[in-house]
Amino acid sequence: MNPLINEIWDQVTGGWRFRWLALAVAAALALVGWLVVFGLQDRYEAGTSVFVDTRTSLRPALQGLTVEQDVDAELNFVRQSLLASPSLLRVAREGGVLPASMIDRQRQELLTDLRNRIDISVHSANGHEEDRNTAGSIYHIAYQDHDRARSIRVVGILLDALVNETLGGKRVGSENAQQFLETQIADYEKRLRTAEDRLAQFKSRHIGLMPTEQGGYFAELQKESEAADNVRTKLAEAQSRRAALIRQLHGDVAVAAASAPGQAAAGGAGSKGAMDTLSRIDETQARLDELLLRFTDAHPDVIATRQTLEELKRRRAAEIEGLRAGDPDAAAASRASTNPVYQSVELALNQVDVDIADLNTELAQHESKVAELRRSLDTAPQVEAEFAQLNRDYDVNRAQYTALLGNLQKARLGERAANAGAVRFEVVQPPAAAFGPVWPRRKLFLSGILAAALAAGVALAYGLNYLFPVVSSAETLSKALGVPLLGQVTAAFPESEQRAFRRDLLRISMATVCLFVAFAVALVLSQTGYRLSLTALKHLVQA
Amino acid sequence: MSLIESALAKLRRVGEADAGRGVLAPRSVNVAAGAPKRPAEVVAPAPEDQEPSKRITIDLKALRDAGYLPEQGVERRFADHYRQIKRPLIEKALAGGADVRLIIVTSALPGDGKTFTSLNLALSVARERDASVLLVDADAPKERISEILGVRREPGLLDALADPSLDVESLVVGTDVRGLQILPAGRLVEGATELLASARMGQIVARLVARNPRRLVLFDSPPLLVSSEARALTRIPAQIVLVARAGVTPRRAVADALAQVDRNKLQGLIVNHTRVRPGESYYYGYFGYGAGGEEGSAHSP
Repeated sequence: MNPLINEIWDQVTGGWRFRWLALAVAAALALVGWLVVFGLQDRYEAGTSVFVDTRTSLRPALQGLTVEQDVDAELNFVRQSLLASPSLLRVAREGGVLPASMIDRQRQELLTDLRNRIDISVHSANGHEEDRNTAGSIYHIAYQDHDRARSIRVVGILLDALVNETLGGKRVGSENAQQFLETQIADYEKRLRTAEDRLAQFKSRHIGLMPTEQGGYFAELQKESEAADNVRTKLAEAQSRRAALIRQLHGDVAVAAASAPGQAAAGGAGSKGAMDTLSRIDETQARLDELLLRFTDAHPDVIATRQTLEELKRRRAAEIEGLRAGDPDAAAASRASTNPVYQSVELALNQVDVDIADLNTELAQHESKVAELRRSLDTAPQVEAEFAQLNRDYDVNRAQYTALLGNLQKARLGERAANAGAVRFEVVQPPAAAFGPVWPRRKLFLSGILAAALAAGVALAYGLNYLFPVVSSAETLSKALGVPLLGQVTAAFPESEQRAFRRDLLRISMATVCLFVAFAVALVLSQTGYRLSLTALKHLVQA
Repeated sequence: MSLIESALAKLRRVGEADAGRGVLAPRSVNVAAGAPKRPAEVVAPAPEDQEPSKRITIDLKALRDAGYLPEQGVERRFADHYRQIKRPLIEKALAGGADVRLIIVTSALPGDGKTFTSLNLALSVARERDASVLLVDADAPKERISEILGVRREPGLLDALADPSLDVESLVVGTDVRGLQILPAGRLVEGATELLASARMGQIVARLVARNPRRLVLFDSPPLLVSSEARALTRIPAQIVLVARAGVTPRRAVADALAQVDRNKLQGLIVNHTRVRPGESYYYGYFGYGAGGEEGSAHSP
């Protein structure tokens, strides 16, 4: 035998002792509960739905700039503005919820109550929660009242307020956005200006250190160093050329030029008309030869001429020595300078000298520049970095400023669009209310109370049996008390007991049926609209 | 005719035959009043067939109508129940001394079925070949046994207690059921508790058990929790049987009653009116039906 089934059986038979008490308690509870249900006031709910396309004015203004406002935020806005005390007070007055004269405290309580009974919900028109910002919203306003007609009236007033004032009127949201944009723009303007000032100041302070367009500090240093090297190379070249020219001039060229008197005399005598030593030697020789033809050697003229010739020859020898030593006077004197080759070499030499002088100047310049750059090695990169920073700040500020300006323009445009009637309203469901009350749900309440009362009765029987247990099973008793079981005796009068049990069962069934009949009557009464009015009850009691 | 009636009728016939043999002269056995502790067998091995002077007829139908005998349909089952209950009691009584031949049937509260149990147990013991039984109505305030057996007016236990000159054995009433004798409650007097707790009570009990070593003395006691007599009664050395009624007696009351009796003397519990449980109905039904059908066919006229 399963001990659990035994246990349950004991509980049932034990609890059965209190069946009448349990039933009486259940009936009493049910009756009281039903009376309360009948005493509850009816509450009707009126509702209306309106489609609102509110997105047009706000969205372009704030797109990409701020966090997108979602439906919840908008609902909050609508709820707050619609349920604010002043507007609610007007709704209450117009709807007839508020009596004409009332003290403030009562009015406050009434308004709070009214606010609690108004339910405003919103959902996206296309039903998808993810992209509910893309479509318009459907607002649903619901209100519960004891008076059905009044509930419809109040909902109508709320709908009007929503359409005409809250959403249809001036959009505070758009204004706010514009104000925000304007303050932001002013702010950015200020910032931009300070950035500009700072940049200018910086530039004037570090005038020599500003990076050029080609590159920064290091690039310039590099460039100057390279230029200096370049100049140096050129200088070396020029100097070597000069040395070669000098060699040519003093050496072979001069000698060759001096030892070619014919050519030199032919060219030089004609052009210059000057007599140099070589030609005078030639002339003196010729005059001597002529004199010797007429005179003897002892002729004084011959002697004089001979002396002159000797003199000239000596001078000539001295001249050649001088040329060999490179003396230009000597050359000039020796008439080498009149030689065209000599002259061209001399010209080239002169040119090279000029070049060298130029290159020296240039090198000095480059070197001084490099030195200067090297001196500013510590400060220059820092300045450069600072400059870049300032530039960046400036650029960012300017970009933001420009964007804000653009958005402000858009926002103004949007507002104008809204004022021009871009917010669209469509009443999806005009204010209406069901004919039956939404609360209390009497059938449910009545059934629930019956079930609860019966459960309470069963619980009572169970509890009493638990508190006052009787001997149930012989085995259990002997085990629990530790006393041997001598024997157990079954019912002595099963037939008459069975009869009694059946009679008892019949009676309690009848009583239970009576309770259910009462329940049916209560259901019918609630269905036909019978209500228990407390004031009527009071009158009844007084009468 | 029911089973038990036919069985009792058989017993009666035997009893009448014994009576016809003329061995019924009442004989006063002088048991020393001051020696109750002495084993009865040693003092006076009295003959079994001593019959009391007074005899009554037991009306089984009236008893059944009054609710002291089971319905006819369950007689067989009841016979089994009591057979099971009496067996250890008798074995102990016949094997042990004088004190264990005294069996006190008590319970926690009134209505638990003491009288029903003691009467049915007495009838069951009376059917034994080796033992007879004296049913003593010790429930002085109610005198239920005396009432249902029609001996209420007769002097009984209380008279014997109150009057030391009276021999209690002379107050025993015989019945037409063989092996069953009755001692009425007697007239209720003031101070019954004190009488039951007195030394005289000890003497009387010793006298009763000493009379016949094969005779069991069955006391129908008052409920333990409501009467002080019962507590006084349970002090007497005896086998005590506690009766409880399933579905009626509170568990707490049984526990309280247990606290008042000597566990060594307590033979065990008898639980009345146990319900047939869902799982057990088959067994009982089968047993009852099969046995009943057999008997019914054997005894049908």
